[in-house]
Amino acid sequence: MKFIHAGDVHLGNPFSGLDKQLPNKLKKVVQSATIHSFEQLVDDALTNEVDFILFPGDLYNSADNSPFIQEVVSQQFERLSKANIDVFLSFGNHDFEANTRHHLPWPNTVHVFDQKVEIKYLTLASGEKIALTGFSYQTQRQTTKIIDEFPVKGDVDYQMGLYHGSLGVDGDPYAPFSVSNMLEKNYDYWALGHIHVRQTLNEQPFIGYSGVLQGLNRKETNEKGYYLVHDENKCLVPVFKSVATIIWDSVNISTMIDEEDLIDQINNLQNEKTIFWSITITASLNSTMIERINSGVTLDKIRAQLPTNMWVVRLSISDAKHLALISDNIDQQYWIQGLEQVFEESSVMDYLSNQVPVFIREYFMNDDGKAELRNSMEQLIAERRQNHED
Amino acid sequence: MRIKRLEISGFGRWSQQNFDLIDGMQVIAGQNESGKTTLRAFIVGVLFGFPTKKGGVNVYDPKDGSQYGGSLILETDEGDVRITRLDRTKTTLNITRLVNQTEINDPEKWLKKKLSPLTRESFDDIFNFNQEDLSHISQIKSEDFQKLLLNIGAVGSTGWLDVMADLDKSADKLFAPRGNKRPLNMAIKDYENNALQIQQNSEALSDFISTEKKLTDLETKQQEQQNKILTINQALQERNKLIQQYQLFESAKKITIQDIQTVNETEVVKAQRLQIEIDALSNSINRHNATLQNIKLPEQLTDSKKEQLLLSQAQVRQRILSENQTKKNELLQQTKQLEERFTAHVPEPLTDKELQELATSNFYFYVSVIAVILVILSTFVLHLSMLWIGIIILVGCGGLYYKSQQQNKSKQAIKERYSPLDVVTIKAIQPQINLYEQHLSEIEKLDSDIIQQQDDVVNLIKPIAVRLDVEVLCDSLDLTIVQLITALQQQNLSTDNKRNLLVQQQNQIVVETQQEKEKLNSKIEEQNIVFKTYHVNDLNELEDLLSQFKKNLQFKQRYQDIMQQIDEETRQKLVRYESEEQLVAQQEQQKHELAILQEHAFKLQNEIANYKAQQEQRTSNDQFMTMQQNLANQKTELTQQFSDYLTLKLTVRWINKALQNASQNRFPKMQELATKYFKYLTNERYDKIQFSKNSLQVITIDSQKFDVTELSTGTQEQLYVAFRLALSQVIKDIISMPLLVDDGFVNFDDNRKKNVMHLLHDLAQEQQIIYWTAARDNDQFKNVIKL
Repeated sequence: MKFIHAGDVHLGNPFSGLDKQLPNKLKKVVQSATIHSFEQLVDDALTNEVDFILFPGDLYNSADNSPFIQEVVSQQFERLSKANIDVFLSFGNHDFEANTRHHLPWPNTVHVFDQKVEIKYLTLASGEKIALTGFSYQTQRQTTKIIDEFPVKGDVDYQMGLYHGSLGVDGDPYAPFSVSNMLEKNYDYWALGHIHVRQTLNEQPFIGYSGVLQGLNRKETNEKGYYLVHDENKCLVPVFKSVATIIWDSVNISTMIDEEDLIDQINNLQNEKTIFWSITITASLNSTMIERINSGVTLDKIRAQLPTNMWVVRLSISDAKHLALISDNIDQQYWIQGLEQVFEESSVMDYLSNQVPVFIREYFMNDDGKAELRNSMEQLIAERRQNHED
Repeated sequence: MRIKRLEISGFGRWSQQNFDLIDGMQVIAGQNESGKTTLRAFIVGVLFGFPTKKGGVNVYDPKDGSQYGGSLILETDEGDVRITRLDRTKTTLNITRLVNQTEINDPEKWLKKKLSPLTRESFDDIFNFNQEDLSHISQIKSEDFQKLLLNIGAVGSTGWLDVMADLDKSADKLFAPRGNKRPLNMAIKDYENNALQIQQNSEALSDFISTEKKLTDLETKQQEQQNKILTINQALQERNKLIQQYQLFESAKKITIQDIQTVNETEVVKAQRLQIEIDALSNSINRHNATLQNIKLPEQLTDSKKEQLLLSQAQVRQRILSENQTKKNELLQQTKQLEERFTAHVPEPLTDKELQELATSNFYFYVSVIAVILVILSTFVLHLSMLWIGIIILVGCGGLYYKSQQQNKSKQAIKERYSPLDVVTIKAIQPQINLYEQHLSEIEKLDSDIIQQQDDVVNLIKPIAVRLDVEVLCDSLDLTIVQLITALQQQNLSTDNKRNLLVQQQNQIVVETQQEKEKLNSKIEEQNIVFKTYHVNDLNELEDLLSQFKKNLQFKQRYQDIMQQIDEETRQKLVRYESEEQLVAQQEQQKHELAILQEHAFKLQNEIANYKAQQEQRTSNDQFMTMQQNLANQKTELTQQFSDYLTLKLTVRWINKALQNASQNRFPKMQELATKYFKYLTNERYDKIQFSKNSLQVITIDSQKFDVTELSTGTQEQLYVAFRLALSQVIKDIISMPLLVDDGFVNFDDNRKKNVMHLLHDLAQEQQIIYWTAARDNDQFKNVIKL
């Protein structure tokens, strides 16, 4: 028996963190990356003659998608259907509405899980009887422990669970579960979805996330893909297969002589794959260099000299202890204290009126946004301090 | 810091004038225009620089030509110093440490540092005020106090305040929370438009899906339609074939094949042959029979005897006839004699009357004449009474006369009739005439008898005569009869001979006939066997049967020939149609249906092609991914821009916080102190001061809230004084400068004025206060300088 476990395909999901400078050629690669990875997965399924494919949620990025995406999904499902490869599909927090929305007719080899936990059965050519248990999200949040509604393994050769959720306790937003909850069910495999980082929660039986099929932002680094699962002495063993069209990666540059040296170092990162880099400079820099980097001049220069299959998404100076640079007759402690007070007061919202899009307000309310603000504030103060002194 | 002494070289109305000031509360009293304000301006000028002419303010040029400027002796943490500032336009500053009379290098910097963080403005704001300033209380904002305090509290924060203002300005250029022209406001709008466009785009998905469904439906419909067309085409072809074959079929249909027994033609031929034989035999028999019938045996002798008898009778009748003839002739003789006597015809015999007439003659005439005479006599003789009888007799006589006349006439007629005979002969001839008449009738009778008898005889002999071919001579019937008798006898003789011959002939024929009849019967028998076999009664029927059979056979052949050209299925179908027209009509109907279907199919095809093109366009022109990615990029950029904006705004806030921290929360302390002073100044009528966004409010002890503008002038001024005093108090750990109060309390009532003096006195224990006043009564103060 062979099957594919691919959580979080996120078809049509745009990449976040890119800007207008991205060359058109790469932009096209970016736009089709999720589609391309999905097609690669289907190609692999056909080549490897898998018996079936599990998509435990977030096949789509959102309930809103487009004719092109629909056409792609429909075509690929059709290809699988022709090869007699069954598809088991549950919807997650991103595509929870997809089940209720119209989509092109899918072949009857595509099995969509209902919003209530249900078991689907499949008998393989080998005669092995398979049961698959899963559910689709009803809303964007699924705060109950749906795992409790999963039955224990029935009278079948293998039973698999498709579960879109994350570890947690009752009340947590994404179908909270614990590993022991799953182990109690005595299943042979738990195909998890939702967490974009590939991870194994339990070795045998396998409980784990295959991760996102294609990295979608600079935090989703390294190879991304799916699990090709086969059985070894009745144990189901997943093997990771990379299909991501574009790989996000990050690197720290700890020593650099000058800008030219920096550009050389970055160009040396070139690889046969298309890689989007986030570069953090930890080397100590002179103020001119800092200003060039902070103003984006350096990044522009780097981007202008990049190979075509490479992109530098972000160039930043490490947290750099900007505050350490501040020294004047106002006591250091007042600065530190003031910064803490600024963030303690949740003062961000004082400046963001209703007309500011929600995602911005949310971003700056969360830790990432706050950290970013803190960093850039420190940089700003450091700069001003310098001016102040001069 | 404390001012010990003023040494004025030249400043306004003061020249070469020194003033020693005491520690604590120094009161300087003077009337209007006594130079109180000039002294205050001198102090500020030496400390912070002399006023320039810009702005048209009083620059206090000395009136007597003394050198502009002067010195202050200041007590500082570095000991006493003399600060000398001379000349207004080309100012020189010298600072000398009095302890060793050494000049301080870079006196500007030294002084600035010493006064730091005070500027001229902040010095004026905190330490220097007059009556005019007191009325500004209503314009005071917490921000001003805060800034002031920060500036004072965090030494070197002036730069940061600028930074703050700069950053804030930059931030406000990026975004206005309720604006729409700033770059970020516009970027938001742009982003929202794009987001909306994507949303609309995703609505296009449902169009796509529904069109796809429509397309599938249409394609199914098209398939159905094509099947229909195919079916109807086939039907049409079949129909064409049917029409082609219909006439054949129709002709076949017209062939009526009967269920007729197979007729063996040889047997029919046999029957025919037999028939010929039968006919021949029958003919022969018939002929024989006819011959037999034609053989008429001569009459038997009896017949001739009859004729002999008849002839004998005729002879008898002939004799009677002859007698009658003779008798007639005699009578004719007699009548002829008589006729010859008369010129005319033999007249009629006379009647008795005529005979009388002929005899008596004038009897009536005589009677009548006698009668008349008798009458006349009687008339005249007799009575008149007898007249009537006379008349009657007269009339009778007339009649009698008439009668006699008549008799004469008839006598004449008879004579004429019997001319030329006379009366006597007439009378004598009368019997003869009577006889004549008799004879005439007898002749007549005899004539008829004779004719009758002649006819009888003729009739009697006529047939025999005819038979024997003998002419009947009416004049000599007797001769004829004799001839007949002779002929009859001859005939009888020949008849007998003939008869014998015929009988012999007859017998021969009968025998032959008998043989033929037997033969005939056997043939008929034979034929009948054939007839029976075919259930017919005669040869005609048999032949009919044969011809029917043959015809049927032909029909069958023809039918089969036709049917071989039409297959079974077609035939079964053709059977259902009554006429070719029906088929043609159906064909037309089908053609029509086909045309309609094809038109529909064409339309459908067009429709499908359109939809497909639409769908293809939808997928190939699908900008969704691009739009989404663009939107994501826009998000990134917008986030970055807001990050910039927030960085600016929060940095301002951060600097503010840091400064405030550095100023050790002097503002709340100041507020607290001000409240305390105000409460004291107002005799505890008010016990709270609070800053709202744009105004200042005070609250009475019984919780009544007043806006500052609602307060009386005096109370407003007291509030101001409270703040000024509090301000100077809360920064005294950083810098302590003499408080310059220029005649500030004119609107205070006695009670509150007493209070303020009390308060100033208290404060002067730790801080030098220089108080200028126009009041004359200053007894409670020590060292009052009177100008």
